[in-house]
Amino acid sequence: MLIRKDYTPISSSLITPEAIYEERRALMKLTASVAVLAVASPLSAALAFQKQKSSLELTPFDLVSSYNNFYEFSVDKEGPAKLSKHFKPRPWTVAIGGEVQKPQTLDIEAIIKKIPLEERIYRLRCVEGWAMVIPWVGFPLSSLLKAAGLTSKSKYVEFETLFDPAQFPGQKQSFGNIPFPYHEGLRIDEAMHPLTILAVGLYGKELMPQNGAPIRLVVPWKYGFKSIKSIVKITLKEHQTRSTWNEIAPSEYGFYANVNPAVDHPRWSQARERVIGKFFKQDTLAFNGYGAEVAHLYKGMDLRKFY
Amino acid sequence: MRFVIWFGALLPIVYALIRFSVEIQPQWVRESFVFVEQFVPFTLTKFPTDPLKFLTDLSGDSAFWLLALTLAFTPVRVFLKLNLIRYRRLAGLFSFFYALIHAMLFIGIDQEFHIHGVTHEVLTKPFIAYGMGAFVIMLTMALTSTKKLFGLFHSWHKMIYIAAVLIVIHYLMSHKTITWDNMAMGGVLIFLLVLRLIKR
Repeated sequence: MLIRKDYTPISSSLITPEAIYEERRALMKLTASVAVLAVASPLSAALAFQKQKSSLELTPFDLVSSYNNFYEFSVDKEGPAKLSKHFKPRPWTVAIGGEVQKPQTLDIEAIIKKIPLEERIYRLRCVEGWAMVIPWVGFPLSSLLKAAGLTSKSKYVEFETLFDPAQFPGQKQSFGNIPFPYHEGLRIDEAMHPLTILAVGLYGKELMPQNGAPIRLVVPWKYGFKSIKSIVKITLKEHQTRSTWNEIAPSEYGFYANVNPAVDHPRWSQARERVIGKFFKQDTLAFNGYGAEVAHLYKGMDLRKFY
Repeated sequence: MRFVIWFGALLPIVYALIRFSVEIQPQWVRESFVFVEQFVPFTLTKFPTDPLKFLTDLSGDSAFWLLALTLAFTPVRVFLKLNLIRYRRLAGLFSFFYALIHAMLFIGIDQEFHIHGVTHEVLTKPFIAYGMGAFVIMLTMALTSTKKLFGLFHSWHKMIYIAAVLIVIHYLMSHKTITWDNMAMGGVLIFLLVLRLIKR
């Protein structure tokens, strides 16, 4: 029988040294600079974007599009794909306001056409203990924020999901403790980080409703609930923003919600994860494997306190 | 009656086999499941996306519902004047069978037989402690369920009420939110317990 005695967290030898990491980045940039037009699909329109190479094994498209946490549709994982058939991701606008120089309302068509899109192959780690690898198509959130003009008061960014119970059956439920519309937030340095993107597609095609159409946040080093879907509003604020799960259960879901195998959710362990499509679990990486890029953002912070 | 319990208790296994064999089923089998799917509230034609979670949930649910069945024999006798008590042990053992699978998935697959990991989880995560508590109670009940030992340990088997309550708490705590669906287990248990209070 397999009785392992070595119960150790991730050893430091598994962490890529910065020099090698930089080398890999350079190589990636070199090999990835080919613009690709993905194959059209009957479901959603293909996007033009810059392809990325990655050694990560992608989670198959049919799993990414059928296993979703999107409580606006259903609390059941397979519910969103079924209940979102009539969701209308057009027309759609995103209002950017609050502490910015130029408040503006952007049309999704204009965003997709004007902003150069790029592929980002990221790990996604859900706070529930499962994970995926998803080839997103999107652009850095920073480009949108820069265009709106930050001020000295732009210290946090708050996002809001569409509130429309006619389209989101989950928002109708009177029983249940989720205060819709869903809100999420980031500190400004997290929002401006090059890894933080707004995604408009995955697997080369426009986002499907169950994945957060037509535009969603992706912050790969944080638990999935931070990556808010179907965004209609982005508000810059001076003080820490709302965060829906944090409001529901502050002792269980922090504002930061960085993936951290060393800090358990009070009810379950975060040390390991089930990669969707695989049977056995694997170790979860600190910052979901993006520590080299983002750990410096939290220097001096007690991550047990700011979980 | 024995046949009915065997049939019902083995349904979850049949269901798991159907879901896991989706990709190797002959065309006509699959098509008939597509047909049946229209009339049932669950899917039959999709390989489980998260197999470990699928099996854990299925075995856990099965263990609870068979435990509820075990608790139903007494009210059935009292209110429906139907004495089926002699089949209660079979239902209880099937409940334990699924609890055993459930616990082994946690110990063997989730924790990969890592004993320190298991004890760490039990000691630090209340919901796992409740589940493990219920499992240990059911294990002792299963071991003392032979005719000879049952006579000796008869009163110990009252612990089933504790196990049932622990299971409901364990189940509710394992979810992020509490919905009407999740309340069903608690509702049925309360109903079964209230039935006992009424007659006494």
